[in-house]
Formats: sequence, structure tokens, C-alpha cells
Amino acid sequence: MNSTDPKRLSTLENVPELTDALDAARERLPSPNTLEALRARVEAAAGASAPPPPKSWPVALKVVLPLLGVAGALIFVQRLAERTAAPLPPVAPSASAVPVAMRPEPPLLESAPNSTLPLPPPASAPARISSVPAIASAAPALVGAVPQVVASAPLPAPSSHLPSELEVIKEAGQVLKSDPTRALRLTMDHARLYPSGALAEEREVIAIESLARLGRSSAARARAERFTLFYPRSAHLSRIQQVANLDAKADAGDQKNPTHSTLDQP
Amino acid sequence: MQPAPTLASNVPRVVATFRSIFDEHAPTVWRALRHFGMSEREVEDAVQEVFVVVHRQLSAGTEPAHLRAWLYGIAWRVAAAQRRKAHRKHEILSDALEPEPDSSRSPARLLERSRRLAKLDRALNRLPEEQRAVFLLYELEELSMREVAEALDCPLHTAFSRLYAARKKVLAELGLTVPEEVWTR
Repeated sequence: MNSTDPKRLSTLENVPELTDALDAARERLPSPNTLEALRARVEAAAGASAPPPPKSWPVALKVVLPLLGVAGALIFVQRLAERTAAPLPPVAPSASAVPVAMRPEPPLLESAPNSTLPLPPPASAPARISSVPAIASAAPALVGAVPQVVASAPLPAPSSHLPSELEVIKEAGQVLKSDPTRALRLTMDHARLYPSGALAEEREVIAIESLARLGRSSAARARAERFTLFYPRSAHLSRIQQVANLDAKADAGDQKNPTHSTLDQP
Repeated sequence: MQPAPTLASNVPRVVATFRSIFDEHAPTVWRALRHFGMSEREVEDAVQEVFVVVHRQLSAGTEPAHLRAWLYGIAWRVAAAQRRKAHRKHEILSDALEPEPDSSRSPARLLERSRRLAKLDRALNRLPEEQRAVFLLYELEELSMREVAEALDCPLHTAFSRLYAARKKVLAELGLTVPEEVWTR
């Protein structure tokens, strides 16, 4: 307590009606069992919401080595077939040939019907967890293309075509007013490529405004509420608030023309 | 914007900090959320949401200057967001909020205490939400007034005026007069 703070009511004497009630209110605490259950829930939820680990060589190897293993095995089979000159049954690609860790995962946020970004070929994707589906989807094709695999040895190429975080967010911001659908898709791409990126806050701002411009008011409001929780001191808060309020007004009035609302004002 | 910290190097520290914060403060965050008007059914989800936000902000490198003010601030915003979502005012505190009976007290004493608590609850329920929050954070959770203002994101003088308004109403509701000293800093 600071020296300028007034005396607390619970320290008063001769008013048991009040001090007793305050003491009783202070005793309202969860039981140890409730707390234990809560702790388990919170740790599970916090773990699930934590961003994936940053890219590292061990993760890259986990993704690439199984592919190399499959390709190597097929090369070995082909060479053996050439030596013995005996016909071998064709090797059919199957789902079981793809390691479990490489099978597609559900999307992180909303389903993006089409990726807006010119994404690089799977082999050049960075070694992030979120890039696994792309590689997984390419794996059967790789298995089916053994001669080409042998000839060109398509090891992961350097990631020269992957747009940077800044490029994605910059483009999303540029098309926000003219094409909010594309802006929203770009934010989804950003969330997929850079789930723990440094521009996640900007991504959310653009996504909320895109949703509002598309007339998806409840989604915009829900996301704006989460934004205020996650970024309580954000410089974008007033903008988000403005978008949410304007959106509420749009609900009450003009819903037919959401892209020409006062959102266009600076 | 500041660059994101390297998460990998922070993980053990974040986990340890998070666990110690949860162990020390989860009970009082739970209590504050209940007093902010969350029902028994809602409060566990709300506590979870508070600590998920805490975990996320710690992972992002946030180092709160005043831990309790920061925690109660998150709790207050979570409670406010849930109220808005439910499109309703806070729930009237009910008998479900009664503290665990203390067997060391006599039945008559327990009854008296319960009656007094119910009167205080009724008085608190009649306060506007912001006044109630200031009263609870200062009188029950024992934050300093500066921390109260920080948690509720309002100017210090606003926090003081809400506290005095809340006190006046609560004391009038309980039919009590208190020494003049509680009104002076």
C-alpha cells in the first residue's frame, strides 16, 4: 500500500459487520481439487496455443530423411532389377508409405480455399511444422517418379521463392481496401507460414478489418475481442475498436454494401 | 515494433515462470473472477483464458512491472469480454459463492458470518461494474491504488473517485458509519 492510499476498510475496528464480511469474502477460494484440475486444463491449453518450435536442423532432418529413405529404397530396388534383368512387380505408392508425421494436419485458423501466395515447390519449403502438409502431399508423386528422382536427385532446394513475412503482410495491407478477400487469404497464408512471426499483430489487424469489410461482422468482432486480450497495449487498439464499432453500426443499418463503409476513412 | 524474442531459448524460463505464477496466483484470480460476476460454470473457462493469455505474453517476452496488477488486469478484461459475449450483466452473487464452512467456528458464528457476507454481496451487486472492480481490488485483493488504476487501465484519480463512490454506497447499504480516517489519504 502506498502512503497516499486510504486506510483499508478491513483494518477498521468496531465494525465487525463489515470486517467479518470482508474476511469471509476473502475466504472464497477454489478447492485444491479444482485448482489441480484447472492447472491441467491450463497447461494443456497453453501448450496447444503455443507457437511451434523454430526451424532447426533436427526438424529438417526429421522431414527430409524419410523422403530420402523412401527414394533410396526405390533406387536400390531399381538397380537390383537392372542387374538381375528380371521383371519386378510395380511399386505402387500408398498412403502407408508416407510417415505419420508427414500426413496433412488441419489448418491453423480458418480453411483457406486457395492459397494466395505463389508458394514454392514442396522441396523448397522451410523446415517448419506448418510446411509438413505440403511435403506430405508431394511424397506419393515423388515415389511414383523414381527415374526422375534418380536422375535429378531433387534434394530440398534453397528457399528462394518463399515470400518474407514483411512481403506477405505488406501485400495484404496494400490490397485490403481493393480486395479484402485476397487480404484475408494472405493473412491466412502468413499464419500458416509464420505462425509465431514478428508481424502476427499486424496480421490480426488486417484480418479483422478484412472480415469487417467482407460483412463478416460476428467473426470480425470475435477476433477483435481476442485481439484486445492478446495485445492490450497495442497501438492498433483504437483502430480495432473503430472497426468493431463501425461494424456494429453496419449491422444495424447498411449490410448490403460493406466494402463502401466509413472503414475507408483513415 | 520490437523483434520477437527467440522462443527456443526462452522456453524453460517461460515454463518455470508460468508455473510459479499459476501456483501462487491462480486461487486469487479465481476469486477475483467470481467477484467480477462470473458464475461457477463460467469461472473455470475464464481462469483458463486468463492463464493462456499470461502464457502467451510471457512467451512473447512480456515482463510485467507489477505482476498482480497485470494479472488482475487480464482477469478484468476476460470477465468484461465474457459479459459482452453473453449480452448480460453480471450474475447476482448467490449462495453458490459461500466459502467453505470452517468447522472450527460454532454454528451460530457461522450463521452470523454468512448473513453478513450475504449483505455485503447484495451491496456489491448494486454497484456499477467499474466501482465494484475498484472496491474489490483495493479492499479484498489489497492492491495499491496505483496498481488498481493500472489493472483497470484508468487514471489514478478516476480509480480514487470510484473507490470513494463504491465505499459510500456499500456503507450506506450496510447502514454503517465509519471513522473519518478512511476518507483521507
